Amino acid sequence: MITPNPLVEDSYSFSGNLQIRLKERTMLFRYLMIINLIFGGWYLQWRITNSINFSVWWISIPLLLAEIYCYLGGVMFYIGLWRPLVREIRSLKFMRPPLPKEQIPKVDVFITCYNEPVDMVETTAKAALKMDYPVSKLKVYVLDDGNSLAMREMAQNLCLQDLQSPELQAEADLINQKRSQLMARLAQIQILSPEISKAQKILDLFHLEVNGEADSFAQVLIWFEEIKPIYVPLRTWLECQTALGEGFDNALRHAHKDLPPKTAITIDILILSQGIEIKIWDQGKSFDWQGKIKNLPAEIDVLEEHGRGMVMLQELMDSSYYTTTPDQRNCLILFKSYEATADIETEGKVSQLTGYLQSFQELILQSYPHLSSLDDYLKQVQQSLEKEIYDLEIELSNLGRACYIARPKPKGKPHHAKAGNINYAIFSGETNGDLILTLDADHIPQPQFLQRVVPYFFQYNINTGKYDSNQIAFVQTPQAFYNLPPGDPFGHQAHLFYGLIQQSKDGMNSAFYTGTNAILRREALVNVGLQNFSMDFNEDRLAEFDLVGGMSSNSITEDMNTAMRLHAAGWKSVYHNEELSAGLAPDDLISTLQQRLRWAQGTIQVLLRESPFSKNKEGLSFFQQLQYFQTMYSYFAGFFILIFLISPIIYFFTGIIPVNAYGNEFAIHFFPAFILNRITFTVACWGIPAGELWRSEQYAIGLFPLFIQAVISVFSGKPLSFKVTPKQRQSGMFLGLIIPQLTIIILTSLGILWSLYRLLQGQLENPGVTFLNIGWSIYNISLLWVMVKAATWQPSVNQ
Amino acid sequence: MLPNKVKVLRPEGILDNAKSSLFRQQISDLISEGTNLILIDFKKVTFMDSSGLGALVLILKMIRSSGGRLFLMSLNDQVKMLFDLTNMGNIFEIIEDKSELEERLRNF
Repeated sequence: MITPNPLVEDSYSFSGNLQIRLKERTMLFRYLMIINLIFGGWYLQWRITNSINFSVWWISIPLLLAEIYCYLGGVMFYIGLWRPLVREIRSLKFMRPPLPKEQIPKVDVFITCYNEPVDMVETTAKAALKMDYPVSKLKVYVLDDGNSLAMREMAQNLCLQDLQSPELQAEADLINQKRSQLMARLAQIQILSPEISKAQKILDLFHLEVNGEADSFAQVLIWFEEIKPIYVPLRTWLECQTALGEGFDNALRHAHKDLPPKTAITIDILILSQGIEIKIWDQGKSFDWQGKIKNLPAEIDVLEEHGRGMVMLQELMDSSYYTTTPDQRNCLILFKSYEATADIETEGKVSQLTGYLQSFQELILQSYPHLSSLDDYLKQVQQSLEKEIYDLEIELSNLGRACYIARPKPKGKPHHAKAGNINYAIFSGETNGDLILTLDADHIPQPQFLQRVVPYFFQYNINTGKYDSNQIAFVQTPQAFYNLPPGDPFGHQAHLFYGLIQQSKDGMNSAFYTGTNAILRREALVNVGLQNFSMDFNEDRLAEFDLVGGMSSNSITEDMNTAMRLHAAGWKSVYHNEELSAGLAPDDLISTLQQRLRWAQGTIQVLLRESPFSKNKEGLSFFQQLQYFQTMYSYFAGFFILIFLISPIIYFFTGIIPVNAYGNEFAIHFFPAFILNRITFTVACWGIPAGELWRSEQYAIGLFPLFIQAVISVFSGKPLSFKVTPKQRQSGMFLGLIIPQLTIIILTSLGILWSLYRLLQGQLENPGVTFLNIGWSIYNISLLWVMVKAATWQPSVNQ
Repeated sequence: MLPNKVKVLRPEGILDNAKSSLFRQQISDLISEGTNLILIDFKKVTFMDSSGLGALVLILKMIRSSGGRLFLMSLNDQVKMLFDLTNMGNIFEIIEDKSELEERLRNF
């Protein structure tokens, strides 16, 4: 287990939250690389024009092709390393200015497992729950594709344990406290309820809804007469009555002209102690009342038949407005003030109080234009309280942070492997985090994981003074292992990939998503998933939407494919070079081979099915295309490695030399390029232990049969896999798995011995060339030897 | 006694747009029959709006052009207020009761 690093934010001296700079020694690397490429080109040009031995074309041409392949691969590899970025970021807690609490995103941790041991998953899940993050914003999901009872029980127990932790108890108390406060408010509202409904009955007397037809006005008039208080002067009342008639007529004949007959018209009358407000609601088109009023003729010819209504309203009333309400109705509002007759203080008291009540209701309705009565308001308050209480209850019941999801896997239908597992969790409705942290079952996250990566998803907007979310789709962190045997016989250390290579890909916005230890923006994943889903939509696809709608299921390396889709859709990515978790590396040869085969097959699959140059990948920039293609291209190396390995063997036994000139001329052209290449590579890989670089070079060569198999199997469409149980050590000897490598080693060794024998016998015609070939062969054997070591490796007893 | 040639109309209820066009038709028929003195009794009119008023103006025009006269009688408070507001009071011949009509006809 690795110990967590202490947070070191306070030592950051840069302003802002993020600092990006070019990796050290990049300029030196660029100079060397350009010179190297020129020398390499020069060598290749010499090889093509001067050194092909056409008499043995069957070996000389393939050898030349192999060299050209390597040169092109090298060009792409080096250009891809042009811009390695080093990122430094403040942790979430130390962001400047701080990220507001409500903006802290919800994170779902997806722990994908298939048939891993329960305690392994439990360790990972526990560590995930221990991550330093607001408890209410973190959920951990065990996505069990093996659907095992023991795993389910583990998750349930873990959930209970977690609920008893002090942090969650404190959170629960807080929620309960809020809830009881809301309950008290609700109770008070309920006490008011009967009073309010009585008040509403009184208020309803001043509200009338009628069918929009001419005959209805009689009904309006009767109602209007009934609500007349005694203290309104008769003249005022008549003016209001007339205005009401005009307004009603306007609603009926103008506003409702094109509407079905009998479309309802609503009238509200507020009788206040110093004025009367009439509101007439229609459902027609809105109309520029104020504009019309401005253009009214000063006086209407007394003998004119039409055009009198509005002028009259203007004269009758103190003010008139015509507004459109949120529910797309219009309201004609007319107001007329008056001086109450003396009766108001005596017999008019009740009416006056009613007026107060009306004005109170009006205040509420003005504040909430979508409501139409006091009762509605009461209901709204009640409902919103109930909703808040309900939400809190849900929150309380959702406090459990460890969840278990196992998808159904019907027979005879494609399951889409890990992508299917993750997509099911995304679309199952049980998860809703803004960000998704994907972890393989064995990858134990450190407590500060989220603190270190979440800030990447926000950008401070100095114009608004707020944090906005940005276009970052995912942040990838390195993969580290805690079970590597001494000497790393299987070559899992990957400081070159999780370091220089990823940092350089990051520099061209094409960081690799490697399926684990990465945090993704759900929105990006779903958006791009849907785009791709709709692109090759058919009924079968629809049926399996929940398995294919997010993460790409088009390849067995769903991670790389998904990242490429995200990049093509314009999303950005980040590689954060800080080890924030540690997992298990396959610790036997067969699992290692299986893993590498899967990578090789998957990558070539993506090239065939969704090449970075295909039409729907137009969104990729040239350098993104280069990055993806370079990776895919490198998996074709197996054939060319084979040529390099058998050339010396052919020489030893036949004396055939595929190159015309092996003398000084060859040395002049070859060695500058070769030595420069070594120097450039050393500068580029500065800081990575030489032993590790050597190990990765050994595996790059030693796995050649696997690369050949991968290419053939993908192109022929024949599946190829080893039957193993991954992540559980297989013991025993595995020499059977490396027969091609053993054959090469044995033949090469025999060739060397044969040459030495002939040398001693004095039969050797060309000792110089022979020594060159022997040197080359020893290099080849030492590369391949790693396979023999891996195949015979046994864990030490105390491990 | 009223002269026989005075035709009395007694509209009821609300005199709005819908009613008044019907009312206008009635009057136009009366005029074509040769009637030239018309009295509209507003006793049973509860409410009149601007359209009703517009119709009255039209009726007045029709009668005037055929050389007749129009009298309005028993206006309620709302109609009076409306006439007041629109200064129509001096365009129409408004009378309180039938005796006033006789007087006006005599003075003619």
